[in-house]
Amino acid sequence: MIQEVLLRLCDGFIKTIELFLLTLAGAIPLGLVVSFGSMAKFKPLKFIVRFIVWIVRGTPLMLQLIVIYYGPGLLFHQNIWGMGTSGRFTAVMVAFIINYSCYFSEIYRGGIESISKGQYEAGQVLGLTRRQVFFKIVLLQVIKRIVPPMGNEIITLVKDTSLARVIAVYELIWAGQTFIKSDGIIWPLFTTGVFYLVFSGLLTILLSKFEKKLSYFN
Amino acid sequence: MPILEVKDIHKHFGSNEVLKGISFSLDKGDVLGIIGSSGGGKTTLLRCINFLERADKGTISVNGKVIFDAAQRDLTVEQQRENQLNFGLVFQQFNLFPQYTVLENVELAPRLLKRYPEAEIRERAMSLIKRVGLEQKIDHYPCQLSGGQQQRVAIARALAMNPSILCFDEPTSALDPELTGEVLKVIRELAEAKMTMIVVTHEIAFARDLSDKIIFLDHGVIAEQGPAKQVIDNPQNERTRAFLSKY
Ligand SMILES: Nc1ncnc2c1ncn2[C@@H]1O[C@H](COP(=O)(O)OP(=O)(O)O)[C@@H](O)[C@H]1O
Ligand SMILES: [Mg+2]
Repeated sequence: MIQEVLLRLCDGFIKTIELFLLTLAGAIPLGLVVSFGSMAKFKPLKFIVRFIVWIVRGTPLMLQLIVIYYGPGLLFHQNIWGMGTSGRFTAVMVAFIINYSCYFSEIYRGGIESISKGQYEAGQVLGLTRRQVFFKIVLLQVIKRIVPPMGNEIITLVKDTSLARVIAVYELIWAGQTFIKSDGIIWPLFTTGVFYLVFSGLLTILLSKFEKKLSYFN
Repeated sequence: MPILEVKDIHKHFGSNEVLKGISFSLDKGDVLGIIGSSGGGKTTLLRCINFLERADKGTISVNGKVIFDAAQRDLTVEQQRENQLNFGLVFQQFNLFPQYTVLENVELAPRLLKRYPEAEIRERAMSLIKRVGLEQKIDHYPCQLSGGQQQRVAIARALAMNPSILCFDEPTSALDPELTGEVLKVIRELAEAKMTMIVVTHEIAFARDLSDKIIFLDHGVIAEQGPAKQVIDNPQNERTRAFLSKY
């Protein structure tokens, strides 16, 4: 029995990790695009991007999942996400990536705006191009500053993946929960907590290692 | 022919007219000291000369060639960069790159812009660092240095691009008093080596000894300019006198 529970939980956990990694892979770069939009000199673009970020950050991710999954069907009377599990998974990914891009974009913006004007000007008077100034001078300083807040968001994401079950994506919590119905036991559900703890614990260690690596300057 | 000729530079921010027609010239190997009360436009003038601000009106020529003309906007980014590299600027707040060591700070721009062959970049950087007396610190990061040491690195970094004219914006204002001496010493040695320099400073005695020529900048106009000792010891303008009496 224990073996069967663990196997099923591992199945769910793999899906959880998949959600986690794909969200990061999408949201880390997309967040940068969004942050550039939110700092655009072209005012209408800046306004629109900040408005979207405000909506996404101001409403529950759970609600966004439901709207993104069911919304198009209600609006256009057709399912744009495709049938079955893979369709639901796609919808979840879209919702997660949009949501986390917006959170990340604000962290990036904070990091970029915290770099003093003097760093850009020092590069400029030495004749460096804008590109060189960004990539060779500013970027690492920004990364150093955003690692702690990014770490917090990433740990939050570990736990947010459980929201996917709202639209029936089979992840860790769901895997644990099924045993309540099928076998009348609740301990598998409780056990999922251990998975989350270990996973977020490992990430915390990894992140603080990275933070230490960048502690040689300030 | 003067190495630098600045003609009728105007600059305003909104309704605030900060520079109201600044003209002066500077001979090769000479040092120009700029003094004046805070808010008078000294920093803005240096920033215009270094292309960090765009003057509204006026021209700047180096060795007789116009490198900036406010009336013309057709320079390519590349040309502008070349023109700008006639000048180097040392900031009040050093602005070293924190993630790079002393050596890396000095080598960064020549390397990225491929100014010299690789071996020469290292050699030049080392000799510049020696020149500012920091050969013991080449592998240190800026956060491990005192303010005076950081400013000396900033001077070496500016020299690494081999500017014809080196500008200083109150290079010792952000330093503890006991650290100003080491920075002033480096600047003095540069003057003795006939580096052409523009030095904005509140160290009046230093400006007097160092400079060939002094400009007193007051509310965006040059109230008085002339040989250093004459301007400091025997100012003609009433405002210069009032300003100097505070020192
Ligand atoms: N970027 C800017 N925007 C608006 N006003 C500025 C800016 N830079 C300088 N000023 C104004 O220009 C005036 C001269 O400033 P500054 O050149 O820094 O004088 P100084 O260096 O002689 O103290 C001040 O009134 C200052 O407020
Ligand atoms: Mg100033």
